[in-house]
Amino acid sequence: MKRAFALLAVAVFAIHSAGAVLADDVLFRIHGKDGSHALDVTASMLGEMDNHRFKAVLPGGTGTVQEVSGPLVRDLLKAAGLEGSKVVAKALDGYEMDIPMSDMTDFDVIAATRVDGKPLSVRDRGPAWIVYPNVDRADLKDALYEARSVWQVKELIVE
Amino acid sequence: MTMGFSPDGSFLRDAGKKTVILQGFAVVLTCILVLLFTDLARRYRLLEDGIRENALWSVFQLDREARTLSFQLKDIVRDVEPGPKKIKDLSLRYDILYSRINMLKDSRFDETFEHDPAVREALLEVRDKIIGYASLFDRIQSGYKPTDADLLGLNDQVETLVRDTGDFLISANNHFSTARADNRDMIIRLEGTTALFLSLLLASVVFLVVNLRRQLKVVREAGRNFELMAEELSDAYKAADAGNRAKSQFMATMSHEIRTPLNAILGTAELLELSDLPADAASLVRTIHSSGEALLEIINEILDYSKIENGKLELELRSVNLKALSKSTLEIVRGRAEEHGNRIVLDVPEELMVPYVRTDPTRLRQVLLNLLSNAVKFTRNGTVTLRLREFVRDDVLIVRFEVQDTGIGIDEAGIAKLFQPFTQVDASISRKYGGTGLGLTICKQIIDKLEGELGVRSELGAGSTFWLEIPTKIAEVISDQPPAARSPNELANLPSGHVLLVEDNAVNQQVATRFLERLGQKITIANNGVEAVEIARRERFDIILMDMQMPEMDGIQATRRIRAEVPDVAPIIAMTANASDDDRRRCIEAGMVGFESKPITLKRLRHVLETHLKPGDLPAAVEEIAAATPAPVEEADGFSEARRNELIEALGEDVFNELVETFFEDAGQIMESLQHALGGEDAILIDRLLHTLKGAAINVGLNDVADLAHSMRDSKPTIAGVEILNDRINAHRRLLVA
Repeated sequence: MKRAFALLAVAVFAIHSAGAVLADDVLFRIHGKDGSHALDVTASMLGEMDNHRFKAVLPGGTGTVQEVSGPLVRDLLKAAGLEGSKVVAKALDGYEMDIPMSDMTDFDVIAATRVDGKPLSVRDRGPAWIVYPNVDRADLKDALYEARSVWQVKELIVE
Repeated sequence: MTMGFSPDGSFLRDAGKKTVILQGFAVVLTCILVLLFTDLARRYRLLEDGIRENALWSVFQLDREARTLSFQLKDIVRDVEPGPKKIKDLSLRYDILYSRINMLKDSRFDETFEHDPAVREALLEVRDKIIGYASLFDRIQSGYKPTDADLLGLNDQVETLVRDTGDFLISANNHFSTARADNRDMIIRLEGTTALFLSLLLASVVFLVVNLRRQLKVVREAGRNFELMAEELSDAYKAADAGNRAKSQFMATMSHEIRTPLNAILGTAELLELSDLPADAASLVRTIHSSGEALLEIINEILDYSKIENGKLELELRSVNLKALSKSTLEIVRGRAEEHGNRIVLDVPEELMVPYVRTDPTRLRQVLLNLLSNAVKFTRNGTVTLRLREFVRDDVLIVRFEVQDTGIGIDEAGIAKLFQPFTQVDASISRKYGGTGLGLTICKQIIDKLEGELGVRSELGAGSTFWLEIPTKIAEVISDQPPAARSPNELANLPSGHVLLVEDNAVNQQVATRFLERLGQKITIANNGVEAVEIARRERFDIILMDMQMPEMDGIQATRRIRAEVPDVAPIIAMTANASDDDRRRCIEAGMVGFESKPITLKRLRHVLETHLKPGDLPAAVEEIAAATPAPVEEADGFSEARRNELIEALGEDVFNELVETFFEDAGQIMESLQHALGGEDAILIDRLLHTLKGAAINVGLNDVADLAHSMRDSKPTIAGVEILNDRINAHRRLLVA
């Protein structure tokens, strides 16, 4: 088993020089304000979930339209059994942003883990990136939603 | 009238020009302002733009991540045996740092530094360094455990990186500060320019407002001036009109004044012609007569014209037999036509669709007569035709008369001048043919008044056709036929007799004389009772018409004397304005056989003649006449239209006018005498004067004057009463004598 993992890791490394992601590594964690209902999201868990896929322009990126995929944030919160009025997205570098819960219900906001079919590494501002479908809905291409599009997401805290 | 319009007008134009220029200026300024504002807004947005701030933030974070990496690396280097957790964290820190430099590479951030090679170079250097560590970290992530040498080497490299990122941050900050400062300066400059243009715009708006106000003022002034001018023009017009009116009035008065002595001249000439004169004298008298008639005609035309000009032309619509009218009118010019060797032809349809139409026969006859006399005047040895046609146009009955001649004709230029007052076709015409040049003008005015049309078709040398068309209405066929048609009957049935007319008043004499002449009687006039007795003694009469109240000897006394002195005397009939039973009784006692109330009418007079010229049935006649009451009269302003119409019908308008004139002359004398008599308190004289006035007034239809005079006879007349009477007479004089 370990060999298999090693092989897989080599293979992943061979494809992505940006760094390997193991199936059971915790990508990011979801929990309530008091730490309850914690859910560690792993790559294998994502493999079992409905992954949403749409075109979007990533803020602070190249400015081109890219195909992103990942689970809907609302599905993740449901899976964790979390309810609240807002989601606080925390990034690896300590950046924090409050996202109202209505965004999650009104729009198909995803925690993107793949861009153009490739998994996002930390070097590519992974492991997860909050993305709004701003190509289908032009009104989402706005400074407000760009600010809420947090990258290198490490934690989603529901309050 | 100095209005000073030209300077005002030019000022108005100038102001208009200025306004247009200012408006253009304001539009240009507004456009510039809009452009400036857009630029300013763009620059503000640029200043506010997150890109710079983000770029600086990114550089700052890059520096921070580099320092964090350096800090953790130092911690690991100090550690003798660093745990795998620490190594993993270090690797994560590197990945984050890597993502930062990637971001700077991916995004437009490096474009921001494109124009600053120093900053760009610093960026590239930092990037190369960070990417340089990737191989080591890739290995660590695939499970390689870094040696102390690896970590120490990395530590040295990261220390220089931290210095570089620090420098990069400072140079980026400097770059942005300069750019921001530049932009600020530009914005301040733009703000200055905008303010300048804004003040210019404001100034031009102020100018516009001032200019508009001035324009408004000038327009108001011009309006006032126009009003003033209109007023002055209106006054001037009124003055001119009044002058013209006065002139017409003067013309009318003069014509009138001339006509009276002229009538006397004509009458005298006529009398002279009747008497035995040597041949040369007779020819001279004929010249006087014909010249006098020509003069009278001219004066009548002038009088008519001035009447028309004064707007006094009034129509009197009556039922008219057009065929009879045509015939009788043509008869009038027949004599003159024959003198010129002209044949006259009446072209009237055998049966008229409408034998009687409603129109003014007097005026229509006047027009036809004028056209016919012109035709006769300008034609020698030719034919003059009077044509009558009737047709219906737009549901209106139109009567068309044509007067066609084979005379000298008129050219086109002449036709153009034809209907203008005081013009004739050319000067030679007036020398050769005479005339005032008013005739056709009067005709035109009359036809206009009748709402018809008057026109002419003519060719020089080939004769002229004057035509007129008047719209008319069908009139009822009246049993009382027009006078023209009636005259022959009157004469046919009445035997001609010799009448003695005893009458002291000139008006009454004239009226009665005209009536009697019309009825074909021979007349002798006695001016008072004494004269009557004298004449009755000398001559034999078939009938005596006796006025009751006369100076010298009144009617009753005269009747008694005549009956006493003349054997087999003619029937004497009383004519009086006193219609009391007592008067009647006295008349019959004196031996009169009839009694006629004044005013005497043609009809009554005819009846009297019919009765008394046939001997044998006198008693019945007495009864009948005694029972006769005066015909009811319609009155307007104390003036009886009916009486007037009767007189005009019987005597013609001219004679009527003369009668009225005579009446006013007499009345003037009577009033004068009355004033004298009032002073002398001669009651009998006063009564007689009032009676004479009453009789004369009633004769011409001035019933109110008659009534007033009558009422004054009952009470003792006062000076005030006489004044009122005088006023009344003068009022009528103004109305009736043009």
